[in-house]
Amino acid sequence: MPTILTVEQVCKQFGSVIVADDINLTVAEGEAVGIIGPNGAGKTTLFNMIAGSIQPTSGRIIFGYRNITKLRPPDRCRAGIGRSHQIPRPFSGISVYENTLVGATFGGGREGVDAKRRCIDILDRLGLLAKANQLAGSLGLLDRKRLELARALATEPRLLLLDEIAGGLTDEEVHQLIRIVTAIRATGVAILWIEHIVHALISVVDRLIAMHVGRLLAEGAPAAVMANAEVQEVYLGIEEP
Amino acid sequence: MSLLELENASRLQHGVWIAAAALLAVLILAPWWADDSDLRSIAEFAYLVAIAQMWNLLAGYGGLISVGQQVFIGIGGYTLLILSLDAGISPFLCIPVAGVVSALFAVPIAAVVFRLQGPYFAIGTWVVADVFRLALDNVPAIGGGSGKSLTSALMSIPGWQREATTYWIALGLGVGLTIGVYLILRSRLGLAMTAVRDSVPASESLGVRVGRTKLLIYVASALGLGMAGALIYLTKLRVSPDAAFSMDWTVLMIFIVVIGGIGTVEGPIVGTAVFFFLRAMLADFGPWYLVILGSVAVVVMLKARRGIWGWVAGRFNFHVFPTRRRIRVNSLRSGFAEMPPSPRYLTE
Repeated sequence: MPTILTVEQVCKQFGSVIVADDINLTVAEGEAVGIIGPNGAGKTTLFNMIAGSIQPTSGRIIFGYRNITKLRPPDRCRAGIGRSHQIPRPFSGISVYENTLVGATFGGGREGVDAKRRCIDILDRLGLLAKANQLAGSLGLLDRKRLELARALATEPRLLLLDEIAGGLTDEEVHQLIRIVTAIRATGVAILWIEHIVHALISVVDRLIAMHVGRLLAEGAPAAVMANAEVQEVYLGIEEP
Repeated sequence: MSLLELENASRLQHGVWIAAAALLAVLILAPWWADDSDLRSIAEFAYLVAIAQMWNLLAGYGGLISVGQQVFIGIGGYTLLILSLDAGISPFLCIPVAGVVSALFAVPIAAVVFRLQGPYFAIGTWVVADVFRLALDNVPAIGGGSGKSLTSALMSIPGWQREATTYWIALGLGVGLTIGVYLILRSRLGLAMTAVRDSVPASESLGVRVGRTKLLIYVASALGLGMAGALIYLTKLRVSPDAAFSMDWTVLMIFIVVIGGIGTVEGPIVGTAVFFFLRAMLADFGPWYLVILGSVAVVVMLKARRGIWGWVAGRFNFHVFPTRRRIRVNSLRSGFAEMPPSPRYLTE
């Protein structure tokens, strides 16, 4: 499979604090990659650099065949990078449907009936159709998370960045979410997914990356990464005997 | 909401539109039935609606809380003064030109004030307006601090024609800018604006070009205020820096929008009506007038934060200008639980 995303020697420093230290990774088209790591490992910072909301201090980010390191977030979205934020940020003064329409119109470049149909389809898939005309500000946490995902999908991404979308959900809800993410994957969208709920992640992804203090700690098949002694130590808190 | 209620709401909406069209027809004919003082009152009502709509567009929909919008009223007023007195252009023709000049000034002003966020943005806009005021104080060619009279530019126009044309332009601005705001809100730009107002980071990650969206709203607002500014000073006949760049203009806009209902197209009209009513009722109370006006604003802000129209719209789910995009859902399905795996999506 051709590569869709290449992160090349990316570093990020805030003052003297290094939050990303020589990160190299690639994602193939249609591939699903999971990212784990303790809080403060630099996972969200990495997403911010891929989506463009912060600039790396050095290094390059290549999407498809294009160097997007200098591109602003809206242009990266239009290029095909969709993103769901860790803390849902709904447009609370407009409806669920209108929220999704923002993604379809600006990120997806669709108009009129075409955009509308696309939104209805996505809302239907995510179980939000019944609430389509409600104000997004009136939604509970679970629905906010679904909306976050719905809007990102409406931009028709080729790469979808999911930041802890399963956090705070019940087991049953997590299962439903896994079904949805699996279905999205099946459409050929590449997925990069940060998640603390490891079993959810492992049931979907092909490959797992473990991060710690701004570095990539381990990378490979999920089972191998989880069995890695270093990963167990920093992530699961298991001491070496 | 049941289908019946929906039908009633849309019937009521059509009723209001027909009534508004009839009222507009009567108002257009006003120069033939009203006296000069009535004409001036209606014109003032119309231009207050116009400037309040412009502030509402910026703050209520764009989330840009400016307290310096008087700068564009002043630029409009001075464009009228310079073009009609010095260049000899018809004062009426100066009004659209003033809008364009004001919009052109908005671009560099935006470049300065958009570097600031939130309260700093508000103060920045105010400072810019004051810089204009102080600068014009020092230009004796256009009257310096005491300003200049427009009377000589208007002398050649017969009285009735002048009064009627001014009135029609005021009416046109009030109605036109209200409809303009409504059309913007229904457009792509309107969708982008409300997204930016509610969350900048989310807008950006959904492909909305935030900077350009803000600039477009700011320029649109300046265009409307520039025309309104020229018209206002056409009725006042004298332009001076202290009056034209006075913060009172923005205070008035904010009062009207907050009372009437921020973020609704109907709000500025309702707010202007309330303002006129209070002013008429309190005309004999001297300084108490402002105290009561301020108290009303405080009460509305505390008790009905979305203003009078916001409260009405929320309570009765009624809109004269519906800006929400709705979808009709035939069979209401809900939740992940009942959701069948959809082959449609999988094969897309």
